Amino acid sequence: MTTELSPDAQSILDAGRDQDGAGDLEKARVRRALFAKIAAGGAVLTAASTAAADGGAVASEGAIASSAAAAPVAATISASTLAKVLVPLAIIAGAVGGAVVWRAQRAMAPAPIVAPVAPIVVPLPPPTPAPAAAAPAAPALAPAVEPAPRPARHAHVAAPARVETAAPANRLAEETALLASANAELRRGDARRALSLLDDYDHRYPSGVLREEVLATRVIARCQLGPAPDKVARRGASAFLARHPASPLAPRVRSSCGE
Amino acid sequence: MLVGRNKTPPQFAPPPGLPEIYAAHADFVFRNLRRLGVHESLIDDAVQDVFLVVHRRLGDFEARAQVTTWLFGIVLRVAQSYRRSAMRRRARLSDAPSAEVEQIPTTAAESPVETLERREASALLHRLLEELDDDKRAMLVCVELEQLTVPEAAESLGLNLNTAYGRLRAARAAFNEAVARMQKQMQGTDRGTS
Repeated sequence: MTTELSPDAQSILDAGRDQDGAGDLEKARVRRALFAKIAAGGAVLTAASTAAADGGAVASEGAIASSAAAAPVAATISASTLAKVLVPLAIIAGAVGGAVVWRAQRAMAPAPIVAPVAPIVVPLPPPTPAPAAAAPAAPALAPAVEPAPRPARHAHVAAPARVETAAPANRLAEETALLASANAELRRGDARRALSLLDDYDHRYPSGVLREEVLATRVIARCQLGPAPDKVARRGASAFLARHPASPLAPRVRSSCGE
Repeated sequence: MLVGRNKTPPQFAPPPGLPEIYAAHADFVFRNLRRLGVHESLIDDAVQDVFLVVHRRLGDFEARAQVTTWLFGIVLRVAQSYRRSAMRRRARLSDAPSAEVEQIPTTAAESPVETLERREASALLHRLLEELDDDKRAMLVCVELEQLTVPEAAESLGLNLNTAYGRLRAARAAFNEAVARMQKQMQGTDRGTS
């Protein structure tokens, strides 16, 4: 009975062992989305992992196209480079490279190798809104099926006391707390208060990791400031959507701003 | 007492630990979801789902277990649900491209050639892993790639120790066979083309 790996099998595993991790940009992107989801009180598994399956499937039909545009990895794989990776396995490697190339060509047009990671943020803050009439209740927030770590009722937030010098983990928690407070105000219908918390965020964390979410929340708050989004609010929303079409918050921006 | 408690400023904060766990284990989660066959276009969602489960269950986590042992079990369940949905989708739609075409992120300070080599080593491994059934694949990834001990793998996968040893043997044998098949296929192709 075979209980050991063959030498070839072993070296394939060795070569692959350190692969497949995530780049810093990728990790930061997912971390932002994750904490924003938790902060928004929507810490619902994309509909509870199993169901997430289906939601995910729907989303992925579009996403496949975008991953084709963004990540044409295999389209140009060459047997020769593959051979270099796995010197003792050059023969097998050729076969795989070939198969992958073939599938890739069938699936998509060849494209350049370097896979750009989604560009990262650094948005201009949109114009600070002028004071306006009291906002209507926020309609667009997803109900929290599972209110993550229980947000204190009516967070009339005392903004976190510590500032940018905090250790990274604490700082992220503080940024998240501030954003969560702004979201809580929005849910209560106090868009103006939400905006002032977001100003506070910008002031404290000029290079915060949640900038994109803060920007989205600002756009949403601006749209909810009056009875209907005004011209400035709409312009802010279009600018956000143009810059961050793939943001997890884009649907909320659209529904709040009537885009 | 009660008054004192009420005075603590109402604050939302993520549970202590989630940011730290993310920082320390995001790579582990990304790479194992990929190895377990989650399509690249769904990776972000799957990673988020894993950490939302972590977030929800942080209280249940028993400090005696290694974080990775615990985490692997979660990764496995999320990966399975994503794979199932992908299969249903593939059955509905036509012959969609599968997970070989992938975005593997470029890390800083790496030449394009290195990036390419890295991707190819990974494409090769994924292709072979895809030939294993779910149980064997999970075991092989756990022990041979993540290098958990067999008792740890058994705990992650919810198996008793004997079953775990048996499955590891079967997984190695299946992987050896997949490699051998590929070599044979290659020789066939060689004859065909030359």
